[in-house]
Amino acid sequence: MKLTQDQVQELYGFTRQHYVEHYDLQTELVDHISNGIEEQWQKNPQLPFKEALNKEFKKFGIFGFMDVIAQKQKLMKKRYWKLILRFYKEFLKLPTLAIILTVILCLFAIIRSIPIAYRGYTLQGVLFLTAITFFLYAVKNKKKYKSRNNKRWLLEDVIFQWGDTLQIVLFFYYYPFGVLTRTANVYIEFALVVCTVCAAVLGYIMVGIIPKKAELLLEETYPEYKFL
Amino acid sequence: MGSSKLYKGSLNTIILKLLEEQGKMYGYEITQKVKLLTKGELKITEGALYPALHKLEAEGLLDVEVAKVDNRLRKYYKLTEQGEKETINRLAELEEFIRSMQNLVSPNWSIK
Repeated sequence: MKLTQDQVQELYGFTRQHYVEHYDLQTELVDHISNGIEEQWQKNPQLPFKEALNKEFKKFGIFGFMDVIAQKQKLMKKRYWKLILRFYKEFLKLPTLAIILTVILCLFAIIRSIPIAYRGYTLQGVLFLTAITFFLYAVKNKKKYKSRNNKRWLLEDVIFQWGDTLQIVLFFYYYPFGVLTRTANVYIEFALVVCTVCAAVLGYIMVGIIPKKAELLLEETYPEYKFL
Repeated sequence: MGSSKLYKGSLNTIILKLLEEQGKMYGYEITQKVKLLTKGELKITEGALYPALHKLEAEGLLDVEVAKVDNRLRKYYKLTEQGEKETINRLAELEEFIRSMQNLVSPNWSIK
């Protein structure tokens, strides 16, 4: 005896009720539980669906799906950072590498032309404006993503949630710049300019590039995506 | 019935070995196969199986295929090329471990 389409949908609802929010993991657990229920029905065809379901759910232990969810989230974040690294490496090729080097040199020249007392503030100002721009862009991306009623995929959630989170982290990263640039050491100033531009590239990849390629990345990551 | 704690740490190797022999398998099938091969001695809990499968997939040792079966989608796991090599390494490690344990618990072992 096999599960009906309605029963399968009920299982999707069940997994959602038990904190599995993402379609990719829901699908795998639904299939697993379905197999368990069908096996129970082979031995006892009169067993009610809900009773069979509860028996299968108990096999996941007292924490239910939590261990499975936690591990999946941890691994997906790692995957996301690997994606960032992949796109970052693409940026470090011509012609974008030439553009980045030009920006670094121009910014460095501007910083060096400013009186020492104001260099730190100028650099912080540049960083602040960049971070604010990316933060607002990330919030706009997130709103657009949330307004869709599609199924949720874990990778997509990570892409659209990390975009703005990291910009906030970068705000604090910028703080020591003001102190460091007061040393007027050309090497430190150059290093800070390089860090600034690298941080801006990272922000751009996170909010400008990866979200635009979300659909492609979902197809690459999830074989089940093509079934929708 | 033996202690399941003795099997802890071997789950990944068990999964890799099964996939090497069977080709592609889905999660439920893996639990049933292990139960069958060990005559019920080892039951892989669902809470342990899926984190292990997802970790092996994230490490690049497993690849995933999805097929539509009986009103639902089913996810099959199979070894990648890297997975095949890693399986050989892990089985060799396990064999070495079993040999060492045999030496330790062998009746011929004594302190002189």
